[in-house]
Amino acid sequence: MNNKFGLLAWCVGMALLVALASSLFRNGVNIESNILKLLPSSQQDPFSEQAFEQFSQQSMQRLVFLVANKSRVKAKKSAEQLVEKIKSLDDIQSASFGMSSSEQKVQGLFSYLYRHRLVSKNDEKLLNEKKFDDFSDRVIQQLYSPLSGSLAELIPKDPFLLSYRFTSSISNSERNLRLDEGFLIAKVNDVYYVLVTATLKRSAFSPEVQQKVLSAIGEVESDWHNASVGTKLLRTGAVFFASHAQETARNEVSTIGVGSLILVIALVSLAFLSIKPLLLVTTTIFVGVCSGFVTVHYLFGSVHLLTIVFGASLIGVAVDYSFHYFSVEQGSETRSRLSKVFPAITLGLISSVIGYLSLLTTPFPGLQQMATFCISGLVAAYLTVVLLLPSIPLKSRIQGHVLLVCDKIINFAQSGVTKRIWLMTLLIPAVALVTFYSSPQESSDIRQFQNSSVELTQQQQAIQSILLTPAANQFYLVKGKTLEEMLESLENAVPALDRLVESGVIEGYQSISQWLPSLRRQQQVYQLYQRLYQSDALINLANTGIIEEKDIDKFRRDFAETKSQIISSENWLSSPLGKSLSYLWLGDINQQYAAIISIEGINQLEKLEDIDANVVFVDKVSRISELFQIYETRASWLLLVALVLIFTLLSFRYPVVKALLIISSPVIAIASALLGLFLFNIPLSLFNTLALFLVIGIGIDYGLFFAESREASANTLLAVVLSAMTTLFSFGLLALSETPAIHAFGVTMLFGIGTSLVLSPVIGSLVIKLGKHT
Amino acid sequence: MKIVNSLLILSFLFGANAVIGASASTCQIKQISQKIAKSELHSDFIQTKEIKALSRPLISRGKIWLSPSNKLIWQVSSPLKSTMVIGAGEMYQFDKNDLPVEIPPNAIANEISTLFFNLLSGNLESLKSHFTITKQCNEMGWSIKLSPIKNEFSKLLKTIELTGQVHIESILFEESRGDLTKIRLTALKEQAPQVLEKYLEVSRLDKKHSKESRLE
Repeated sequence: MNNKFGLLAWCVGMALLVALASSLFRNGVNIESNILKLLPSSQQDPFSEQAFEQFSQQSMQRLVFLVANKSRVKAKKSAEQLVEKIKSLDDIQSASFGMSSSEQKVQGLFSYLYRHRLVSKNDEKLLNEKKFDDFSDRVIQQLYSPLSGSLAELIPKDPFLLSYRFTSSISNSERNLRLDEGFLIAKVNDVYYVLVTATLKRSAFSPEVQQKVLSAIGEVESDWHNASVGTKLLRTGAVFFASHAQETARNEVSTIGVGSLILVIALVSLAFLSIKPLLLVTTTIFVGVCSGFVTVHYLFGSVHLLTIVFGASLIGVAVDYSFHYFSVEQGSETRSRLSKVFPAITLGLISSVIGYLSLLTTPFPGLQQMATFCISGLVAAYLTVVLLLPSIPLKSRIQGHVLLVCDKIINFAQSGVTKRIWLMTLLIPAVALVTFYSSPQESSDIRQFQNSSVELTQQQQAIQSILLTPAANQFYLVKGKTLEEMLESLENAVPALDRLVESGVIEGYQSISQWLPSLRRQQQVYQLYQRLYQSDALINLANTGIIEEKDIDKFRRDFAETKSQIISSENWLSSPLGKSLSYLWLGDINQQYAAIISIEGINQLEKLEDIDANVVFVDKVSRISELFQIYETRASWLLLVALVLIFTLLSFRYPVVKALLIISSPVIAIASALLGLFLFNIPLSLFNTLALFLVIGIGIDYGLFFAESREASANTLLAVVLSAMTTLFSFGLLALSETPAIHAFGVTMLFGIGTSLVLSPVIGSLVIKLGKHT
Repeated sequence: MKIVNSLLILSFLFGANAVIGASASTCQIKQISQKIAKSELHSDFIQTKEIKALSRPLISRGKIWLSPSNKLIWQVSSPLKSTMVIGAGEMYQFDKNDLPVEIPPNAIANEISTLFFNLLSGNLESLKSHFTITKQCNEMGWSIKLSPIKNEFSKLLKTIELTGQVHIESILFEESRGDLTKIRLTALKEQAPQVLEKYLEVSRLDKKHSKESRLE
């Protein structure tokens, strides 16, 4: 392979990369920021997966506000302004405070039309116990009270006010909220909170949608502020969290990216004081990052924001190969320069790829993306060094004083103390083992991927303390082969759910079954009311002058006529309340009917389980946590396998003792990384276990570079120091991330690579000494 | 509004009302309020409701007691016993067996019970923000007419008329849709009604009860 051929190959590769990248930019780049996309989908149960997808999609498009003011009038007024403002946005499907008066009328009509098909639990009990007097008594009490309002008008049609009875039994179950002129208002500690809800038309993860919604809300808030109305706004919804996550991720990408770049430039300038290495190093980085991005986008259809955050650390790794190339002694021809570093950087690439491959073996699309990004980037950077660099003449000199410092370090490392130092560092794994087995383990879950703002979380908690809001990740999935079967399953679940509420496991639940009973149940309810109409209750009403005695038969005939009034799913879904609860209705999924029972206020998660074969408990968070757990254990074993594998590879090239020495460096590095985690109080999780693979993959390079150079020269140390520092810095910047998973990854790398760096001259000189003896 | 209120309070404190003509002072809302509020109210009542949707008027009788602890107890004894306890911002209802009745949470109902409480306890000043109040005095006594300013009450009520000599003797509600409610207080009594006292106790207990049975 000569220089020209190499250059040609590199140019072809670059042309391909540029073509792919430009077509990508033409068709639009997809940056994903939904953390759920990082998580595996369940292959075993596509039905519940789709149900979850649908439910989370709908709940993610929901916005919930509480408009707070000490004055009820001002709170209402502010709520109106907020609704008006967000309604004016194109991306808003709907926005409302409670129920408008026309909606109330429609809902009232619904409960009136189907009054003989709907019954509250309490009334059902009364009817079963034949306590019919309760029904007439309540009407008498109501009508004889000084101000009975509009209820009297219902009497000629609905003598027992059944429609009112049912509706009020439902609204009784709402915590804190009262309907006040169509506004849903809660009063807590003398502050009035008006509930405002809205639904997005598009994904909450679209930056455009986020920007519009946030600025509209900002405008309303500043209007309130300017007019000093004293209104405060509490908000929650995926759009706010997603926007925050995206902003932080963007900041992190630029911190890590720019930070790493500056360091690389500074280091190269310091060591070489020449423009050519600088340009070539940045070219390597650029090609690496581009290739990583393009590959991931083509393989996955989009690039996750967290992949980019993680990928920004690639800068620090991708420069390693060019550093080695440039650090070869002066005077070498470009061709021989390459041949000197070729074995070392090739082995280095292979070990790093093995490290990243471990991420690929997990079923987490997020980790797969990150691994793909880095592998592709490293290969591209490696190829750039191997193909492009030899064809460019290089006369740059390494600065003398830099080499002098390196020389001093090497001399120290070669003195007699190195063996003792190395033997002492062997204690680290022992200490790490003891510490780790004695410290408590914590499980990792989905929240490891989330960087929640404290303020948003507080607002969400404030809202949850006032309202019962449905849990987003836990619910019951109810299914049936037919609609009727599904509705019956919903009804069958009610006693078990009530027991959960009674025992305080959950605060409440929301099911459509109270408004949309199965046909069988509607029939039963009708028969229950039939007994009421046949009882003396109508006579009681006649005796107190509320109805005329002669009309009793007419009321009974009217009742018989309502036999044809049956609630269909269409009736319910088109009613205002049905629309607002539409997120509980999944309809037809894979020829099965499905609905959701949402859970409010989970106090004891561990006590929630499937109610029966048709009512299953779905908990994405704990399912993911379990998966994390499984893969963490698997990853720990794989770590051993990787060490053995790399050791075997090394044994082919080096004597066993030498191979053992080289492999001792990553083992000690892993141990010190574990101690570092312990020091920072970071629990061992899948993410730092995976980082340990990279500690092996990258950390072993440094030992290899020494093993491959015939003597412990200042040039080799320089290359090792340069590449370790950039790696250390890039991953060190990851440790600043607000996303717990990435933070843990960064800390692990910081300690692991740091140890490898410190150990490299020691082990390097031991390895070289060994080489001389044999 | 606030300034006017505090001016009124100031003038009251400094005895400035003596300057206002004596004839006017006998027919001031404040004075009427004071008259109403002065003594513990305990009376029988007869209520007649004329409801458009019904062919006959509904007549009921019962007792009313404004307790020293500032709770209004309204007990219907015929045609069906039922009891309401109204306090500041709270209301409880009991059925014929004195068992608590769950009242659906409703802001308007709360407002109305508070209105009722304020009327009967003579707390007319507090109604000024919701109603325009006109008064009339003659040798027979006084009468006060309240018409709601456009607000939540105006959808429900046309006017409220209170009349009396010292105490309130009758209340007339005219609802927006034309229904009429007349309440006549008869047989004012001096002593606290033993029979009603227990409801104050029960309503306190009921606070706990209603929390437990929140979900249906």
